[in-house]
Amino acid sequence: MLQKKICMVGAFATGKTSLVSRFVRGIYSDKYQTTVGVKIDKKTIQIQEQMVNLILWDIHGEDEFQKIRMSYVRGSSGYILVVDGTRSETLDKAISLQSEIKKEIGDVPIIMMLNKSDLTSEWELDDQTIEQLSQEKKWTVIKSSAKEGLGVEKCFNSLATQIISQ
Amino acid sequence: MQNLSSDKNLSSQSSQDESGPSLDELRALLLGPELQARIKNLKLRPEDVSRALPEALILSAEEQEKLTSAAVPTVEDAIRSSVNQDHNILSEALFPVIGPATRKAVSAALQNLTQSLNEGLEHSLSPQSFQWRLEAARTGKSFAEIVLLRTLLYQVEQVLLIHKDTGLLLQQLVADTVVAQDADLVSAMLTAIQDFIKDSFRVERGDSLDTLHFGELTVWIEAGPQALMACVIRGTAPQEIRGLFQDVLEKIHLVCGQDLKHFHGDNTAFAQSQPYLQECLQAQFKPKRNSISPLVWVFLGLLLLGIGWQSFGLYQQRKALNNYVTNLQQQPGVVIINSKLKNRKVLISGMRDPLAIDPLSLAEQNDLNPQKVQAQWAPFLSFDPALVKTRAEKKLKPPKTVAFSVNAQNTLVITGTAEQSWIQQVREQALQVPGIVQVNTEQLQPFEKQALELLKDQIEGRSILFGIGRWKPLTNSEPILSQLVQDIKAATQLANTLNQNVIISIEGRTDRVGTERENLLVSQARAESIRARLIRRQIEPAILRTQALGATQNTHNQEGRLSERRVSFKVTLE
Ligand SMILES: Nc1nc2c(ncn2[C@@H]2O[C@H](COP(=O)(O)OP(=O)(O)OP(=O)(O)O)[C@@H](O)[C@H]2O)c(=O)[nH]1
Ligand SMILES: [Mg+2]
Repeated sequence: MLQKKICMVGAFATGKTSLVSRFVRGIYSDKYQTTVGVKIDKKTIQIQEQMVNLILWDIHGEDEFQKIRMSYVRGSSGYILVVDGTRSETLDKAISLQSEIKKEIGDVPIIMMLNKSDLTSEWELDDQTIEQLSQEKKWTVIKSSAKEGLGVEKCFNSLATQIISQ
Repeated sequence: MQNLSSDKNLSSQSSQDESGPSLDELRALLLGPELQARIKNLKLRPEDVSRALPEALILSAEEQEKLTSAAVPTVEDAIRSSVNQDHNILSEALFPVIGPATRKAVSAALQNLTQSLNEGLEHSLSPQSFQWRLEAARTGKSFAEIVLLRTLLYQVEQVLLIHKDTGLLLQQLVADTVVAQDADLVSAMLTAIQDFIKDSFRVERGDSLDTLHFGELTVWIEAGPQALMACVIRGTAPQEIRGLFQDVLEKIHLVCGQDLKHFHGDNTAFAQSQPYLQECLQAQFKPKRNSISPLVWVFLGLLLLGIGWQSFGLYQQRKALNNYVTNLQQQPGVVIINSKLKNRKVLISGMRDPLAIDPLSLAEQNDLNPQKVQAQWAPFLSFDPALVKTRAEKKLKPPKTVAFSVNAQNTLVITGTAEQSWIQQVREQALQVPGIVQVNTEQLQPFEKQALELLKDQIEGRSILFGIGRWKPLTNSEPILSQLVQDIKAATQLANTLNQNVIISIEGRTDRVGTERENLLVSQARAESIRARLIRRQIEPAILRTQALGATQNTHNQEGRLSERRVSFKVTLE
C-alpha cells in the first residue's frame, strides 16, 4: 500500500495533537497535554480510488526553549503548519518554521491550518492578510476547529491529494 | 606505450635537429598537417593520456611500488575531501564490504570469549553442568556452546524493514502465534526514537540506537544506509543472530537498492525482501527432551532390575511360602487357616496342637527365614492318630518293652511286655487320653507270666536219676535239687503276683525191668522221696503232688535204662 509521512508542525499549543486526534479517532479534549518529542498516529484514507496510509508525525510545538528537531521532518511527503488563530504570533512562527523545513527537505506540499476557528471572538487574524499570504506562498490555507471538527478532514484530504498528484 | 615512446623520440629528435628547410619539407611530407601541428604543440592531450594510462599503470606496478607510494597522498586527500563533502557516498559504497569484515573480527573475538567461558565452566561442577557435559560429549559440541544453547531461549517475533529517511514501513513479517503490534506506528516511532537519541545525546555520526529493552521484549535495530531492520525478540537471543540480521539487511540493500533509493511511499516492491526477512524469524524454544538422556535409561534399567529382583525375590518367597504351607498342612496337629506375604514377611495363622511339630523348625527347611515368619496359633487337640499316639505316650509313660500304635479307628494298640502293675492300670488311663476310643492289650504281656513260663520250662526240663531198684536219688542229684528248689520258690512267688497258684506234680518212673506192680511201687517211692526232700527245703507241701508212672518207655541199652529211672516235674498254674 502507498504510505506517506506527514508532519504536524507549529508553535506550541496551537492544536496539532488535537487535530490529529480529531482526524484519526474523532475525539477532542479541552485538556492541554503538551507533546514531548513526537507522537505518531496513522490513518488510511482513499484518494482518487487509491488507499493511502498516512503516517502522522505530531511533533512537539516550538517555543523559545525548544526548537523543532529537523531530523523529525526528514522524509516527509508533506506537512501541515498549524496556526492558532487566536494568537497571531503563531502565524509568524509557522512562517519561520516553514523556511527552516524547506532548507532541510525542499519543496513538498504544505497546508496551513488556522485552528481554533470556533473561538471567533478571540480571532486575531484578518482575512486579507491570510489571502495575501496564500497568494504569495502558494499554500492552501484552511480554517479549522479541532473542537468542532471543522475543516479537519478537508485539510488532510487536500494535503494527501496534493502529495499524490505530485 | 609504444606509441607514446616513439612519439617522444620523435619529438626530442625534432627539437634537437633544428636543421634546414629540406628536413621541414620531408617532415611535412611524412607527417601530414595534423601530425605536424601536434608535434609543434608538444603539450599532452588528455585523450592520449587516457588511452595510455592503463598500460602506464601496469608498467609502473611492475617497477615496484613507486607509483603506489606516489599516489598515496593524492588518494588520501581525495578520500578526505569526499568524506568532507558527503560522507554518505563513501559509507554507502563501503557498507557491503565493511559489514562482513567487521563481523569476521567480531566473531573471532566471540570465539575467544566462548573459549575462555568454556575453560571457566569446565571447572564448575553442578549437577546441571554434569548433564550439559554429557550432552556436550554426546553431540560433540563444546561445553560452552551447550550452556549457551540451554540458557538462551528466545523467539524473534517480528521483523520490520523500515525506510530510514521517512520511517515508513517497507515490509514486515510476524511469526505465527504472535499478536503483532501496529507495525506502521512501531516503525515510525523507532525512527523517531533514533532521531531523538541522535539529536539529544550528540552521538558520533553514524552511530545509531541498536537495542531497546522493554520487559521481556528486546528490539534489535540494524541500520543500513537506506533502511533499518528492527527485530522484536522475546527472551534472550544469542548475539550471533545479530550477524544474521546484518547479513539479511545487506542482502536486502543489494536486492532492493534501487527501490530504496527511489522510495516514495509505495512498498509493494519490497515484497521481494520477504524470504530474507523470513530467515530472521528464528526461535530457540525450551529444550524439548526429544532424546532421552542415557541417565534416564540407566535409571530405568536399574528400576527394572530392581523390580525384577524384587519380583524374583517375591516369587521365590511365594514359592517357599507355598511349599512351607503344604509341608505344614501335612504335619499332624497343624491346621492352617490363612497364609500370606506382606512386606516381605510371611504371616501365618491357624490352629496347632501343643504336641505338633514346631512350625518354625520347618521354615528353614523350606528356605524361609524363621525370623521373617510371623505365626499365630490357636491351641487345639488333634485326633490325628500320630498325635494321639504321642499324647498317649506322654501320658502313659510306657516301658521300653512296650510299643504303642494308634490305628485309624483311634484304637490304641499296646504290644510288648510290662510289669503287671503297669499293665493293670494302663487300660483305664489310656481311655482318659483324648483321642483314644479303644485300647487293645491283646499282645501286651506282663513280665511275671513270661518269667513263670520260663521257670516252668526250666523246672519241667529237670530230672533226678536213680539206681536200679532204689528210691534214693543218685548222689550227683544234689545240685539239681538245689536248683529245683530255687526255681519252685521263684515260680511260687511270681504266680502269687499273678494271683495264681503253682502246682508241682512230681512224676516217678522206672525202667522195664521188673514187674509192673514193682515198678509202680518203686516209682511211687521215688516221687515221694523227692517230695520229702523238697518239703525239707521249705517248699510248701500243698503245692507238691506225686504221681507213680511205672515204666513208660522201652529202651534196651544201659544208658537208656538209667534215664528211665527218674523223677521229673510238671508245673500247672491254677
Ligand atoms: N477552542 C478550541 N480549543 C482547541 C482547539 N484545538 C486545540 N484546542 C485546545 O488547545 C490546547 C492545546 O491543544 P493541543 O492539541 O495539545 O496543542 P499542541 O499543538 O499539540 O501543543 P504542543 O504539543 O504543546 O505543541 C488544548 O487545551 C486544546 O483543548 C480548537 O479547535 N478549539
Ligand atoms: Mg501536541
